[in-house]
Amino acid sequence: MRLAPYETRQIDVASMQNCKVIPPAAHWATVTLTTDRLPDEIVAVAASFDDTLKYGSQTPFSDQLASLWAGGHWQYDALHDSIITTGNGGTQPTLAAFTVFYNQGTQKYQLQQTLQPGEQMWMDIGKLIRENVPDKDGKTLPPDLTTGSYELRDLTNKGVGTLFEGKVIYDKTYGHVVYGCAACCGWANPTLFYNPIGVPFQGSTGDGVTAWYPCESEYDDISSNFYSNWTSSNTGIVTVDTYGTHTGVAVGSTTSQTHGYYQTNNAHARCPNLYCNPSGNANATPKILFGGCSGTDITNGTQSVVVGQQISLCASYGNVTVNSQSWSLPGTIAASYTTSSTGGTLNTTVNVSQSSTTFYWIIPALSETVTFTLNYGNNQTATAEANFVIAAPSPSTPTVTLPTNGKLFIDTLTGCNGNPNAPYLVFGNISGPIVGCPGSYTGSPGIAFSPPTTVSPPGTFFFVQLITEDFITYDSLDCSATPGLDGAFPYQSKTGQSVNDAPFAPLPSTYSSVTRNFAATMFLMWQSNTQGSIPALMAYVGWSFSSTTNQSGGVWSTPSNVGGAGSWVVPYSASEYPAWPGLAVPASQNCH
Amino acid sequence: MKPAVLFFLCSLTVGAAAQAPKEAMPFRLVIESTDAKPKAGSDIWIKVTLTNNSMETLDMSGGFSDLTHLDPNYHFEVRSDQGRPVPKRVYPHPELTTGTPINRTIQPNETFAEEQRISALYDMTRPGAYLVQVSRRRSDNPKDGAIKSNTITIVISK
Repeated sequence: MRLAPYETRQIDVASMQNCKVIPPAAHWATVTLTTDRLPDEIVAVAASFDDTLKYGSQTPFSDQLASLWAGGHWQYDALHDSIITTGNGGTQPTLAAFTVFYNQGTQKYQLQQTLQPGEQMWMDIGKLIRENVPDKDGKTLPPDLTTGSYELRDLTNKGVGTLFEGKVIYDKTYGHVVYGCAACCGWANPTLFYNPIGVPFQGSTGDGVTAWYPCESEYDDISSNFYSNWTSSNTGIVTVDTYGTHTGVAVGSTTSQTHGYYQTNNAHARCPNLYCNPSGNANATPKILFGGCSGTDITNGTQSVVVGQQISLCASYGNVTVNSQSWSLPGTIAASYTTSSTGGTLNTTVNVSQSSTTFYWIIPALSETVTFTLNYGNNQTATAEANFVIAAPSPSTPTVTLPTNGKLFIDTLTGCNGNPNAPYLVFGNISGPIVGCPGSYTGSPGIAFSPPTTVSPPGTFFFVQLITEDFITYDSLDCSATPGLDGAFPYQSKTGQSVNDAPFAPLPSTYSSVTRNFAATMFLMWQSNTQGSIPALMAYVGWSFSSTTNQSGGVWSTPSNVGGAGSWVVPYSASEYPAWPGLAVPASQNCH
Repeated sequence: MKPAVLFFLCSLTVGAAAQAPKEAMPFRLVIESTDAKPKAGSDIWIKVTLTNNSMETLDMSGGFSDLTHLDPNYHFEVRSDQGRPVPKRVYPHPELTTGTPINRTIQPNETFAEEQRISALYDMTRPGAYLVQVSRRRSDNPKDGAIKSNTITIVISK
């Protein structure tokens, strides 16, 4: 139809129903008015009155589409009701959300419905309250609820929405029906998620567009408005797909960009759409593989490992001219830890100047970030990072007890193979065989150690004991041992068990005075079940005793007693790890 | 009555034959050298592995010498490649050897391995080939004898 300036034209919907242009049974409709004129040059109003023309209602047409409509006050009581509608003005189905806020905005009631193009959803607040209609979560509105606010949100289309809205309020007090208004809400300052964006070699990183959403004071993801428009300035370095997923082709730097429209937040101008084309730097970086060069890509991720676990990393960066490369490996690390009865050596010199490195974290840590730096081409630099959490059993502290309170005793031990019983100066109070004879012992050892009962992470506890001093004087004869491993690795060849010690020294009748000074350090180790692991130090404690006994008339006196143990120390450096050249054996000048 | 008696006797015979192998070998000893190319003057270590094949716990406790640290439950025999006994090492004041008590048991079907420094007991400082064998008493009764390990040859170079 054509309208003259200031002409008003009425279209009688009822007569169109009578003429069956519209089905007579229809009780709602979406009416679309299309014009080539500027906004506000055509004003459309829908109105409905009874036969007496005394009671009626009217509402303006909504002339814009938005993704969010924020509506104010609604009322429902004996004299009022509010009916709120929203429709899909787009060309594709969309998921619309209707939310009622009440109790000063502290509670909400939500309905969702997929709307086909042109379809609308209709919310009669009074009906929702009266009939206890459950929302999408099964929640109902309180029966005494009389007022609140609301919003309509397009859940499918952000950036540029497709919803229009309408609301009428019935007021029986004065016999009026009035229409309500909601305000559009849009975005500001769209920017790329990342600038620069780091893209691992042969890996992918997603990028997108975010914008400030003042209506809710948050940044929103409006990436969907920029789909299909992504490009890379150098596809030999980085490619970008429809959705902004960047893929590293070769280590290097370039730029990537996209373009699209978004709805601005200028409500006075009815939130017009604005074009923008954000761009940023895209850097293809090396990737870090865990478990060797055929391992898992852990670049920019966090990997959980355990202390003592073998860490084998490989940097992958493609075919570039390498000037230099290096690994930064924070924390306390070792290259190897060889342990046996023949010797124990911790090597802390890790090779960090190759593309691959293998090492062990030997002290637990909450977080350590490994960095690989590649200098390539024309003195360009690229880096890659991976984070590690280095776990350990907890609790990891064993117990140490002194069953005889640090006292030494003169005990007669049992002989064998023709050797007679003989007296010994014992740290503890025991019965059993003499040196070199088989058989078990009873009584109380001088010192006892028990490992923790922790079973997670999976692994095994065991002890290692180093003798730091063992000096015995028989009258004027000095016997000493070189410091070293006590007996075997692990201590007493036992794993996962409690251990004890009761060092004893013979008391031949040919001597009249014997003094022994003994000191040792017991280390609690834990070895993960992970293949290739090395033993990790959990704690250590020093202990010692010093005692003298004298013979008179074939009887040895009660020994003087100075024996005890310190407190368990939790290590923090590699220098605290046990190392030994071999067994503690008699010194070259033994018993001279 | 006669057929019944005959059947009973046959059953006894079959049962005894089936149990015989387990009683014959309550445990197994296997030794191996830990150093592929030992040199003269260095410590010579072997690894002794005991597997308890019996249904009873095996006691491996003893008073360990701080001089040699060798397990007193084992008897070590070292001979030259001509079969001559190798002399034992001599220490000053062996009567003053200190010791460490160790209680240790090996459960049925459990395997227990120890590294043993046999050069602490025998003079193996000269280059040449040495035949090494380890044995352990079969039980606490000396009349039951001992069970021997395999024999290995350790060649010590200059």
